[in-house]
Amino acid sequence: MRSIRKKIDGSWGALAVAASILSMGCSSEVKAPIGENRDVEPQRGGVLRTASFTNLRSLDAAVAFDTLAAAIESLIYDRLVAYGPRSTKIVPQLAETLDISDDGLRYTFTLRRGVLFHDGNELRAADVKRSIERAFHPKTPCPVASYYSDIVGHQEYRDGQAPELRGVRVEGDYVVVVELSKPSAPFIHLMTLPIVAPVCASAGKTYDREFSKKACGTGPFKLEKFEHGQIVRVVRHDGYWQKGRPYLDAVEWSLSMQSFAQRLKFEDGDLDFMRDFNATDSLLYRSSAKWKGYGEWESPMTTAGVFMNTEMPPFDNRHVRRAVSHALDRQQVVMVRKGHAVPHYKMVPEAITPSVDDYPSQKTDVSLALEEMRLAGHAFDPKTGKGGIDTEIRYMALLDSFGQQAAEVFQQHLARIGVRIKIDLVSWPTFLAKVTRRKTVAMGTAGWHADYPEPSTFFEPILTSRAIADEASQNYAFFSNSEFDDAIERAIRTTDSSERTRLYRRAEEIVAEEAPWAVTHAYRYFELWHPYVHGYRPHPVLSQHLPDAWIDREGARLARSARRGNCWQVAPGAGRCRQAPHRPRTTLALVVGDR
Amino acid sequence: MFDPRAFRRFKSNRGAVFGVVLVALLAVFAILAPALSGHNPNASDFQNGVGAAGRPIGPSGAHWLGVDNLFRDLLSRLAHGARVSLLIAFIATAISITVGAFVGLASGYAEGSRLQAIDTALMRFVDIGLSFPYLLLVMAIGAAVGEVTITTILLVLGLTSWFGTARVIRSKTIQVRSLDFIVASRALGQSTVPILLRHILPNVAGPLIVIASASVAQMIIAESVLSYLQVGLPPPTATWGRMLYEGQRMVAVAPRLVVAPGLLIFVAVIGFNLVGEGLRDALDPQED
Repeated sequence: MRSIRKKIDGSWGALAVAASILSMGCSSEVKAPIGENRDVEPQRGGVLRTASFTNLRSLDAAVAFDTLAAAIESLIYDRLVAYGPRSTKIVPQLAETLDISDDGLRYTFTLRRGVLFHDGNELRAADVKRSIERAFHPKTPCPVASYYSDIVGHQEYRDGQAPELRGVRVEGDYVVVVELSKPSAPFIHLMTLPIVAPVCASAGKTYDREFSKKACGTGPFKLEKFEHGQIVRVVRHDGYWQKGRPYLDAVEWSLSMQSFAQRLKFEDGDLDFMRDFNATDSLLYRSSAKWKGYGEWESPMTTAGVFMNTEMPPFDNRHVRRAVSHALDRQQVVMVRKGHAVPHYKMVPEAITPSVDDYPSQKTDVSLALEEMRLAGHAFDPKTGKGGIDTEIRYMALLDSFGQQAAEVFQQHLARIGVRIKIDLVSWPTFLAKVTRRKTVAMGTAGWHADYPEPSTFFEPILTSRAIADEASQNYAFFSNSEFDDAIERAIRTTDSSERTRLYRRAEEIVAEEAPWAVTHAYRYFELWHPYVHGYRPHPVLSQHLPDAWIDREGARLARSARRGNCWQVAPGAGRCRQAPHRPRTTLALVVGDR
Repeated sequence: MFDPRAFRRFKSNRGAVFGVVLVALLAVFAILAPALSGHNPNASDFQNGVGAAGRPIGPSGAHWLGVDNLFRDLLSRLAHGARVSLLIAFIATAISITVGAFVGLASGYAEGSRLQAIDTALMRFVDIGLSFPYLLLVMAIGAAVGEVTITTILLVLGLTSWFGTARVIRSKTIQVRSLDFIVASRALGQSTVPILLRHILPNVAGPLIVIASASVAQMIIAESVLSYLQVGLPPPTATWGRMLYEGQRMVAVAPRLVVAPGLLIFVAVIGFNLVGEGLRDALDPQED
């Protein structure tokens, strides 16, 4: 027993972790918000700090198309037209006026004068054309280039057969004309996406990986720092065209931060805004009277589930896909994230197309799933466990996400029909790189957030043949079905709303029959902010849309000094501070034993 | 090799006996608990496991220790985690000790002889190995290998933890090599390998056993850390480190999800360390 203390030091590591975690969060109460919501005028200054559990692959407007990138891009890149504040109505942004010809084929954008890029150059019509051509250049891996295939000359330019995009014309310094080959109902919505936002001349004529680190546009904020997996910081663009805006000096995103760590930082006032809650924390905050008025659900414009790569075995067999679709129990998986996830059985969210009149959708029915397995030639007997698919299928999910938890539940569901999956957990950049590559990932987590409030956004970019590419394919299932393509094409073209409704219904029917995705749930985020954050409410279309946010600096200052003074809460009106009951806080530390 | 005096010394060491009891209890738990609880460690119980407001239930008749964040039986998962942890710890230790003993014996025996170059090369390699941050090395190898299985973890842990053992065994070998009976064996014409295996190895077995018992504890910690950092075995395999990680999300409402695996890691590590300490004291002749 001579030196037992020294020798067993390492064993305290696990206990230290457990004790640290307990001391940090062992309470079914949440702390009160920091500061109070004071009735003050909008003001400039302050830094808004937030975080995400995911990493960021790129901030290049032409290629970055995930939810987090889109949120940051909405600060860096202004577009010709955009959604109004908390509205689905499209309003001019960089364009002063927009004129659409009667036949719906010609869009004339007249630019505002005096709009400056972050590099100080003035925005001209030629910059708009250059930026659009850069996005669709043959060497640019634009994930949704097919969205814009109606622009005259798009395909020949994309294929490298034309030196320029004929359908985008410059008339003088301030007029841009976009011509379409066919009328398209969603086209004006597409012009709100960052893909076609004007970018600085430094972006070059085609995609350059380095541009992501020095992203440059005309938005209210310019990129100051982008450290992969660490932080993104944008600071105010002093030459912004909208006088007096933006209010904030800077916005910071900490990347790859676990929800648990985010909550601790948020409670301590080290984050001003957060939304990556786990189910328990979310429930605690939502039911807390102290936080009433400082949180709101984001509009559930999402659909999620499992994609199955139709070009890879065993999912090249539609019966296997249908079996998977029938086997997944939607009611069970949403219990893992109660409140945030709701069962969902079709591509288009209820907020856009309500499920009425026996609307076509997928369904959970294990006996049907077993029958489909039999039809696929993989009959499985649940009693004996014999049969099914011999090989283990790799399922790709995002590390430390709801998708990971869902995958663990799906694994149990699929085992009931003789489909064994092995879960590969990867980071967000790896996930994007792999699932978008042809014949690489057999199945995995699928999810889509509306780009605009119209059903085609849930079909065209993720399930049509046009969305398939060898690299950077947005159609993860590599699903190609001519009838489906035709239905979507005609729905986009038609001006008859009842015909459009019928066509989208047919598209849903095809998804239910062919099951390139097993749609399982819709996910919605609960967003929370400290009282000194003003001017933010979840946008009906855009995720984490922060350009109009501002900080009550005095309130924030009091809150921060309160935190330094170990205050619990700042009293209204003045810099007085209510003392908090003492709660020791231990640093989370891993203690690893001697070798 | 069996020395009754050493056994007596071990028995009289209360700490060591307590360590043996802890390890034995853990082994029994790993073997019997799944049968007792009657639950598949990877199966969610959406019928009985979901409590008020959708939270996982606490201890109940159906689930003695309650369920985890995916409504899986906590007791079964702890027991399964015990099996994984003990299996990995024992086998990785065996790999580590075997490699370390081999390198240590070869290096120590070559030291000062015409095969000095072997000793120099091996010890410089050991220096390099020791200079790497252990966890970083393990994680880098894990990431490079890509697919993580029990075999990967065993190899990664086993092959990155023998450096210290090699150092100790080399020193001990140098010490034993110069003793009279070894010199006599060599003078009688016995070749190197039999000398190493029959004469030197038994004489360095004491420190080797002590290192092995402490190593088991460190392997348990290392495996838990890897799982905690999400670079260990993939889900849904239950390991204590992963359970600790998953439990922290629910700590506000279910602290048992963190306490239970944390406590088991603590008990396992302290148990093996106490056994190791007791063995060291028992095998040390100076104790008499």
